[in-house]
Amino acid sequence: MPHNNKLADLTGVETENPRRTALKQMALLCGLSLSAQSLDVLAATVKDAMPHVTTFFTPEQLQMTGEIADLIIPTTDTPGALAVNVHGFLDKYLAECVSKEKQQQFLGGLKKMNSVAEDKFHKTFLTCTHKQHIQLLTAIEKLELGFTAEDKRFFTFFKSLTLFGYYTSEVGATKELAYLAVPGGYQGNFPFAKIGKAWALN
Amino acid sequence: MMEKTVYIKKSAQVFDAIVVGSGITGGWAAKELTEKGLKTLMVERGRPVEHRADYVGEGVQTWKLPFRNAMNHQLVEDQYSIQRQCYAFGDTSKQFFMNDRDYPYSTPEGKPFSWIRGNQLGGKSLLWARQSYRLSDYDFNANLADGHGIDWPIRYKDLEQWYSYVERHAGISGSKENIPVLPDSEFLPPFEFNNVELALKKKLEAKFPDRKMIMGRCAHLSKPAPHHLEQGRLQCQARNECHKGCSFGANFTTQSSTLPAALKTGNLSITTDAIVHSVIYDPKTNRAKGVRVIDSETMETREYFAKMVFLCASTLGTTQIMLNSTSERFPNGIANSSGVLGHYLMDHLYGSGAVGRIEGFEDEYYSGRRPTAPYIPNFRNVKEKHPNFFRGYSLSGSASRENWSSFANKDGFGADFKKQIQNAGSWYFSLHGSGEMLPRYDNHVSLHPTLKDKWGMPQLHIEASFTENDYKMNEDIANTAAEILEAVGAKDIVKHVIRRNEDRPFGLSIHEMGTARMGRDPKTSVLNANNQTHDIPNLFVTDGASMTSNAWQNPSLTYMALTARACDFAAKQLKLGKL
Repeated sequence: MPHNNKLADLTGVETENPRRTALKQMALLCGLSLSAQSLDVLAATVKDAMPHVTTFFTPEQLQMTGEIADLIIPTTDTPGALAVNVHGFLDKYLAECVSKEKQQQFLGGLKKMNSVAEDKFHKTFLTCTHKQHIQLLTAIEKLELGFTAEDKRFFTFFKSLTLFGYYTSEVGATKELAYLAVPGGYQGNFPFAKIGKAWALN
Repeated sequence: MMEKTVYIKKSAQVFDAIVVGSGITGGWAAKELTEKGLKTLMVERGRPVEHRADYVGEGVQTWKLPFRNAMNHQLVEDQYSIQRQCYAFGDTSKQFFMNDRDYPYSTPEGKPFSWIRGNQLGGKSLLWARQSYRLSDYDFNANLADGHGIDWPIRYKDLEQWYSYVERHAGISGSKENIPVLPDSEFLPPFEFNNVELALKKKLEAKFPDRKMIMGRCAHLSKPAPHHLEQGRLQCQARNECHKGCSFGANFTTQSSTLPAALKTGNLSITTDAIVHSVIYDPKTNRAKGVRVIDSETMETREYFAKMVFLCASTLGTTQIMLNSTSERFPNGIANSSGVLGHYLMDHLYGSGAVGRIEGFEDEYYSGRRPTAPYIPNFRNVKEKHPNFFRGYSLSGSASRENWSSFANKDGFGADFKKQIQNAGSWYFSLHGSGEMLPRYDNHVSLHPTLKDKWGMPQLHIEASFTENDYKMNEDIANTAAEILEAVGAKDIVKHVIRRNEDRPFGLSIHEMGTARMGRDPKTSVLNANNQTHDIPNLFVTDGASMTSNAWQNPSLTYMALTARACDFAAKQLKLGKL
């Protein structure tokens, strides 16, 4: 998994799992006072990564959601899901915009992730290594390690929400993809190379 | 800007005309009648919507919306359970949809009906999909030819000049094609095909000589004419977010096109938040005297008077008002001596079709969000009778590349996955049908005997269902779409067939029509060839309720032409003292 995470580089704590480093830092942020300089550095990289107050998730569920979302859309040459606060958006979105059944499906899916992590690695999902996370996500898609079709449906739901949260964010729409609010007209003879990436709005 | 004095509440004035409704047909009736010098009152049940100023969702970046155009789940469940089924419904457009909680209606078990409604000045003209097609004599002859329904009292030649007239004002983008089943309009330039569509079009037309792929005709200013610029309308920017409101005035709406023209005459008055309860009937003269309204905010009842009344309140809105206008002479609804008022409800057959992946073309893309799509006009039951069903359908759909939302259903995650999304996905080509439905007496609406809405209006009971002809056509639409996709080399073809009422509710195509149909015989129709009720000379209906058959084309352009023609007739009759 290639990554280019400024926070991890700056802190140099752990190169294997840059996401977890970020999350640890955010957890610290909630409880400990850091110097203004550190806050600036963090704000510049992982802006608002962990809200102080959650609406839908427990703090652990929020961290797990942030972790998984960032495994799906990591930071590359543009910020990833964690950096654009997809988990914070999902905390509000799941509280307000989906049915009770969908809420349960989501929480049930997180729980299953944790229980497979326990069975397989004897750790909670959040304490697994980056490599183990990848194993778990690969397994849920391939219906291995005891994951079922229902679990995969959860993951598809999770993924759709992550993509929605990320690609409708300002960074996702305008930095990762090409955003054209007012195209000015329709051109049907338009080489892909001319823009070089997909439109945020199709 | 609209002058505030245009809006009235109480008035003892006897207007020359009252127009009920302010959507596509209400706007046209107001424009035509006021331009002929008639003092006209437009009555709208919803609130005022000012062009530009009230387009609150327009141009708002998704990340600035609280839930990125999604909405609170419980709010939607409680207040928009039907409206949310419309593709255009969302946080940025919800203000142009009626609140389902306030406007209940009933349907029988197993026969769902989705009634999508506007509730504001401009009506559904702010929400429509803008596809604009003429009917031809194949359509005006259809009922007579196969014996389903009654004969249209008009033919293409009766409407031809009126199509041209409304098209020039509205602005219709499209290409001249000389296709007998789909007469050409007065066109602004068509939107472009993309290179994949051009390649498929070439293959399609080589393999199927009876099928032609043209660019969908739509009410968009692809290149505004001087008279459009004079109206303050500008070129379409290909945002394809028309349902949030368009400050460019690039698509046809009441606000962009007909209302400014009507206001310019100084002959228009408007009352909003005024729910028409019934048409006031004078038995001594056998004339409509005006309308009785309920103020939606104060619950107060008011009356307005005029020399003639145009009902343009949408197919079912108009029908509900007529059914609720009872008198000794018309115990079952005004101008309903035939008894067919409320019957012969039709909608278009949508939802069946096929989608396939197109290999290659990875170097190709497009720029802009085209507000229309390629279109294959009907080729069924044109030269030879199809063994399984009557009437025809069009197919439409575009070639586009998968975007981020398609990737949730693909395996993968991580940096490679993110890169794949950034590189845009495969090309897909979809073809979906818009099929004609036969007019049937059993598909009908009536007033519920006991249930009323919060303003005391009897609720509409809607009973409509699909039949064998519809299902067989749906089957053929999907098979034919798949056959075309296969012939042009598509892979992984997936068909969709609507097989039950529940698969896609009746009404959701938002082309409901036929419940106060035109006809030659007063015993079997409500309206004559001029959209005038057979029973009452000064009462006109020009919205979708007037349609004798529903053809396979999107109907709004025909409503516009029928309205302009009826207004011309009515104004002349008024002058002659015949109304």
